Amino acid sequence: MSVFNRIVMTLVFAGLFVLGVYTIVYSFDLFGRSLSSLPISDFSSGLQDFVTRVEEGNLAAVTIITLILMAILGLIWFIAELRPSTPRRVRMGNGTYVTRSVVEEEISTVAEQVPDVLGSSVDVKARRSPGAQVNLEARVRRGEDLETIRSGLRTTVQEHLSEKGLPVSKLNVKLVEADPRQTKTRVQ
Amino acid sequence: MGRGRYVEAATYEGSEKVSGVVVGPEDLEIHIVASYPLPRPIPEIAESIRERVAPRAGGRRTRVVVEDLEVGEDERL
Repeated sequence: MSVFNRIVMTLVFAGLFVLGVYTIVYSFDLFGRSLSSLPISDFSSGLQDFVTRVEEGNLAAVTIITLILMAILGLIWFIAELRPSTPRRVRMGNGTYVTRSVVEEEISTVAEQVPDVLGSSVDVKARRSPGAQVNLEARVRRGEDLETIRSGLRTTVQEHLSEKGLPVSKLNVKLVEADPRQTKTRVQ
Repeated sequence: MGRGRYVEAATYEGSEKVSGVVVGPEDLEIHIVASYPLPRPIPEIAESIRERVAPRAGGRRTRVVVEDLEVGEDERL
């Protein structure tokens, strides 16, 4: 969300800068431009007309839909702003944390020790409550019994993590059939 | 001690720098690197450090961050 906010604020400030330059140019009659040449009266009459139509409830369907969409977008943005940011580190207990990279490395190492796994990629998300959410993607040969590998891999990873005391609240295991020539390991 | 991943975890006091400890007005962070073989599960190691340090933290909220797990020379063989 912060990246999105930064982009929006950059655009807003860029717009304000351009507006400021135009204001100075038109206010001081620079480069042959003056305030009297601006179509302000057209703009104000258009705005007045719009407000009158809003008051009378006489808006076009497209305008109503646009306004509703803007209101929904604003509400979503507001709720997203109120949500606290995702923590960077995985909480283990009261005041004790472990970095996501430690959990990632541990899971990746143990997953790649399973004979049927040719390679893996791990995504660890920290949560406000203790334990991490782990998405493990393991690459296996085509034609293998995926369910057996998945349950074996899950058990191995869970046992290893519980032995080390690394808390995982959710472990998603996804198996991807891959060509051994394109994986990290060809033979286990 | 850990040194931080992106931002250096250290405290500067005068001409001295203490790596791995970040002391703030209300918080105290201790960054550690655990080394294999682990004598106890990681949360227990972190908790024991926190219990030792917290009474000397001057009322600051104490956090222990396990930054890395180091493999010892024997483990690599």
